[in-house]
Amino acid sequence: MARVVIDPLTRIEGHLKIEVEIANGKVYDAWSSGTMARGAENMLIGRDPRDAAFVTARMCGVCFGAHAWTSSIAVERAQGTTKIPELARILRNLIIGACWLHDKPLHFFHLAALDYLDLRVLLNYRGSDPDILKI
Amino acid sequence: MEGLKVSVISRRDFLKVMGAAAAALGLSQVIPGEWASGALNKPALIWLEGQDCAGCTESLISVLKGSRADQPDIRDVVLDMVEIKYHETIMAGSGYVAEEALEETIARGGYILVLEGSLPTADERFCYVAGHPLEETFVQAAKRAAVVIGVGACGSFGGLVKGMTSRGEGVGYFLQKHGINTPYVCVPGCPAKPEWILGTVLHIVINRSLPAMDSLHRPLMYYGNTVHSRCPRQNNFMAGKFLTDWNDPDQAGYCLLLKGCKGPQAHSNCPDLWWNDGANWCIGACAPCSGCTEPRLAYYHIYGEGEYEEGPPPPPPAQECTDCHSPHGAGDNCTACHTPHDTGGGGGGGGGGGGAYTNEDCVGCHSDKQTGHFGANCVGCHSDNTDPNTHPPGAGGASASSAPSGGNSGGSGGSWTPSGGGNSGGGNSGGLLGGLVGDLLGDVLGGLPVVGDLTKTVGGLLGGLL
Repeated sequence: MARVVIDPLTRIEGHLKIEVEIANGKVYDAWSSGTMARGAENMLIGRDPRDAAFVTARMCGVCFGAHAWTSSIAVERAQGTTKIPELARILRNLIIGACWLHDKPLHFFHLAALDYLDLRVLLNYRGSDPDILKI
Repeated sequence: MEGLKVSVISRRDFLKVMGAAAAALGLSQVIPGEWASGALNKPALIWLEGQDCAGCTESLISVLKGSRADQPDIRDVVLDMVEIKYHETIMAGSGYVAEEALEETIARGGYILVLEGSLPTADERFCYVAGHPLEETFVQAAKRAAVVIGVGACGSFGGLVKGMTSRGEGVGYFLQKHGINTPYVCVPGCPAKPEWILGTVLHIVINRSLPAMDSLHRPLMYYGNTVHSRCPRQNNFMAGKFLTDWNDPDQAGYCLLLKGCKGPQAHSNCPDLWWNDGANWCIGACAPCSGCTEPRLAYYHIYGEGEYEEGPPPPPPAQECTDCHSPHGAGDNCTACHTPHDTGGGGGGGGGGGGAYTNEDCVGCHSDKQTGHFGANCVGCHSDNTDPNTHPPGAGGASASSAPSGGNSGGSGGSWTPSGGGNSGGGNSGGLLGGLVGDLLGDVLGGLPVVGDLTKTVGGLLGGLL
């Protein structure tokens, strides 16, 4: 049985190791490990709860908005808040919307695109499309 | 700085060798033949990521255009000025392909080394890449580098991670710790502004010298003044008008000092050079400056005055570890291996440095040792041990039933073939791909004018990067 280890797995946020066990062309088992930790949760203990959104937003540079958003909700729940001001609701929705507009294209084009496109095909292109030949 | 190897090439020459575009992202490592020539002798750049969030990288590659017309954007730099040999977040190859590119570049020497994210001081196991503590890789790379750049608050000074359990520190700390004399620059910020990163790299590449720096190794051209000194709300500060109530319309534009603004301490040119291609900046959006360019960032009250007490972060709540972080559900005998819980309970001093990651009896199931993933004593937590005699009941059933032969042969050399579908790529000048992805995104998001521009630029940017 062959064991394939991919470490680091690139084009993700964070550090990831993937191990796959293969025999006869079939995957029998697989493991993934995150190989980095910071210990951010402990940092928030004893701090002003308003700091939480600022600190947790730094968990991920791709989807920071979502982290800050959920952190705000968590703080509210801890406090027992059931209703937030209307303006706050609108502002939050705008922020999370902007975050989507930013991180979805960013994830696809910067990180994932190379997994879907086989650019080497272009090197062997023998057709006549002028746009492709220009390359 | 004498060690920095640079040779000038014309743009025309550059375009002739399209493979260079591939080399820009390390694609040369996965493409055969002349495409892998790497013929252009531009300064190589290694971008290591420690305990990072990739935010500085995103900051850098998300910039759609320079803030001013005469400012170069990321495409120009990636394609024309430097050759990015290793960058986990954007490089095409993974696994050994990536590591070989790194080793080759280190062996050649004379490159620019960037560290984004901190390195842990509490315990090196907080940051492992490719089976090594990243500190090891960083030290190796720093010794042969022409210059080291710490990017972001974390890469420069440890940033917020400094206050976290792993006690992150930046380039200055680790260069000093290991007695490495390579010159270094810090480009702090959370994230660092794209202009700061690009400008610093360009200054080094073009002038072959370090920019003028302050005592914390920050370039004076960006960090020479405090935010406060150029703050548009300074009139209100002088007049003693401080904002105390966010909801009072009369206080609009008042000084944010009492709301925790770190403008008086924070060194940066933020008041002059705004964020997001000049769209706005923190104080412009009525948010107090967080002081993200300062080494004390981790201890600031973000929305209040003063600082938190420095000291070891509180230990995690003591709890009995019963399930060992395992997807299979571990057995009664499993006490510690690979668990993030502090089973020792307490041990507050040293900031979790002595945290129980593995105990002495743990022989390495699923460890970073790469070979022998489980030993004779391993009772099955999180392992693929298929021997029913040593496997706890109920653990890893799927693997036990489907594996054709007991155990494995000790990791028979991980072989990942680049030709196997996914991670492949070829050099091209970017036109086709840029247009293609632009169209794709246009289809997805519809024809809003702003989105149209965005797709064009994002597409073009990606094309440029490829």
